[in-house]
Amino acid sequence: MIKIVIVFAAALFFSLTISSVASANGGPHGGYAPATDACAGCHRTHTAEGPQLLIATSTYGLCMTCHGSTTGGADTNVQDGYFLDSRSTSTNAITSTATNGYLLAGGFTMYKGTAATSSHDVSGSVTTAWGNGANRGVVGSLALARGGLDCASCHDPHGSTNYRIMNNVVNSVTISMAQVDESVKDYDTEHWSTGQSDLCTACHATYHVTTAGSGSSASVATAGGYAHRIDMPYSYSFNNKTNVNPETIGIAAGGGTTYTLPLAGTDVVCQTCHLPHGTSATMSGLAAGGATGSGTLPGNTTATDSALLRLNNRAVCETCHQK
Amino acid sequence: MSTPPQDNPPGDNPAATEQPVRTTSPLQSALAQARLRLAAVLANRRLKWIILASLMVGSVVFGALFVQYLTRPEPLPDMLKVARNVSYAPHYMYSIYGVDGPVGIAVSPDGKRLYATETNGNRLVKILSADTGKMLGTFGPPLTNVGERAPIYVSVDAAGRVFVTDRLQHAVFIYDAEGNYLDTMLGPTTALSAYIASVFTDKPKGAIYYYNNFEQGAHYRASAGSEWITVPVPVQNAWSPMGINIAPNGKVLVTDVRKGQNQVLVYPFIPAGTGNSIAFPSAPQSFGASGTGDGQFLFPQDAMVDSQDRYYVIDGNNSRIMMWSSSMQFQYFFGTGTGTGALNLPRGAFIDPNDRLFVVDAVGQNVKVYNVAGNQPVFMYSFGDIGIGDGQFNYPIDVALYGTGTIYIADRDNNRIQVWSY
Repeated sequence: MIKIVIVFAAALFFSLTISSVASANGGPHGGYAPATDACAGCHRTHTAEGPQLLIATSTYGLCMTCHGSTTGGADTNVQDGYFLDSRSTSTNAITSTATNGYLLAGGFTMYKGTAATSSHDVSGSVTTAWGNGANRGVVGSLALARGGLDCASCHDPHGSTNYRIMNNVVNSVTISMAQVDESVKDYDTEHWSTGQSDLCTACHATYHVTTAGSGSSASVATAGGYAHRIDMPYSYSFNNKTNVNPETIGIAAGGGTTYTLPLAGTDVVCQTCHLPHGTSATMSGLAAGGATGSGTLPGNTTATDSALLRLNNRAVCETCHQK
Repeated sequence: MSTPPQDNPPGDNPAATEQPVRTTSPLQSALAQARLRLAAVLANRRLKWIILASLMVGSVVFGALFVQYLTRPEPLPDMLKVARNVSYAPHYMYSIYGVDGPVGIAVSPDGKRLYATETNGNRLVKILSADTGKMLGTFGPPLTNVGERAPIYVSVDAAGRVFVTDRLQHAVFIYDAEGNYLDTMLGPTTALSAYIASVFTDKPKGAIYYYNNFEQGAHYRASAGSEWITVPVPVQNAWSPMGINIAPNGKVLVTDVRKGQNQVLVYPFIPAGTGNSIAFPSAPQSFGASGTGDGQFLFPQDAMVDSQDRYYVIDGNNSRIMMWSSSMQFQYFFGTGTGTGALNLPRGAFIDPNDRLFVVDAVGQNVKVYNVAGNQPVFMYSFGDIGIGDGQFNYPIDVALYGTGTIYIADRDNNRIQVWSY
């Protein structure tokens, strides 16, 4: 009996004394008490400088005050693509340091220690998006509620019911991405749910091709050509072609480690191949628009545009298909 | 072959003088006089041209010298070195440009140099002349590339040593006044020099060694000409230093923002070791914990002591300032709520010899000043507002003072150091 009391007392002691870690929905991003003073940190009721009664004109500048390269108020450094408190060998195939793990969404200005070769411009000035018109491979105008693209176009700084405080509505599209226990701060495993593609295709609408056989089906060709299907099972096969299916062993990406692309459950989604913040993957030869690197085909990348791809050249293709 | 007749000059032929004198007509005389006048005029005009040309050349030279004079590097305006017991806000003086996203700022003990850390560009520390604003040099952790460093706060001790915290390196780098690397604080109780000495017990005097977190090791060579070797360094994840402040009494205060371990570390003094190294006298004292309650911090930005040796901690994400007694007991916090003295998102801070506490409010886009000399802090005033004009801020991050009169503010997104004075 005494042992039980001691164990119970010890459990109670630790549960009360060990402070919980703020999740993405906690801290400054939600979980507000009725008498919170947190509103005044970013908003002014009568003297706001920016829209949404923001105290600042630049949403990006506001976010970077905590999440910039100096990470003055957070451990998530979205400029360099690091989480400053994790050791990760993860799916990146490159060992992070003991104190810096790679952010699963990439980095806006750098990633894995080198300059980004492509990234989303979230400065608030972008008002176009690839595939936001009738056709894939062309740029269409974007009419976001807040004007140009910025951090709050995708993330809700007040917290949300979605994974990584993704907005519940993006560009008039409802987003549902199952939350995970973020108190664990697992920066080694990606937790994208099947609703992830809705987030990207809220702006890149015509890339939301989910038709079976869309790589060969004329039904999707009118929108800009045949297209790789998304939100599809990883083990998908077509026309009895066994090699259409992805390999399940990943691909050796150097250093003896194996790279496996992340899935949403068992589905291929946008983030299986792309990093939403930015990437430092490099393109060369045909992957950079051919021998001249001119990128003359619609949607072709150029030598300086890696189209947010996770891996160099077309390693994302080879990782699954291994031709 | 005949020789052509030659005209001999009059002086060369004596016979010429014997020729009869020919009389000249008035017309010829007038012509001769006209020719003489013309020659005189021409000679006079040539002289004028020469004079004119000389004047032009002189003007150009003078003009060039004048332009040079106007554009010469000129000392910036003298400022009041010491302002005591003033109750009014300072005024904007001028800005120093040439910095890329400055986030940290410190002044050398003699007030002649500024040290500014940059979050953009090459992410180095820039040395700037406080008199002219001219850049005197740059420095950063040796053998690191730009993606491997993120300097944030900087402080200078009485000896002129420069301490720089680096978020990506999870270390404090120490340099001399010229930016020459001295040593690295790898953890709360570990200096790189001490670790190297433990590995190389016969380390020669001229040995060189640098730390790089991304290589989980140190570069070492016995002398300037010898080969570099990489020495594994045990994982240094015991802390995550962010703020650093060296008090006039020599105390070194470091804020540690490691997840679940937010605290303030207090070193009584960090003396020089052998060679260029530093020597930790003992394990630091510490206070505080992670959280939102009394005595708890969320990303403490900076810590400092007043003239009574009381501690002030800028509790960043809790948007407040926390006061601890000289015996490191929590007393109270302030700067919360509403009103002019309420903080939005405080960042760097500085306390002057008059116990005026200057706190940069990054989101409030101003600097708030509190008088902490008494038993209770008193909000005095704030200065600056949002914008890109003179005296306006665009996410200011840090502040430093020289004496009590000259105030330097790292104005991050305006890419400049603002200078204010009383």
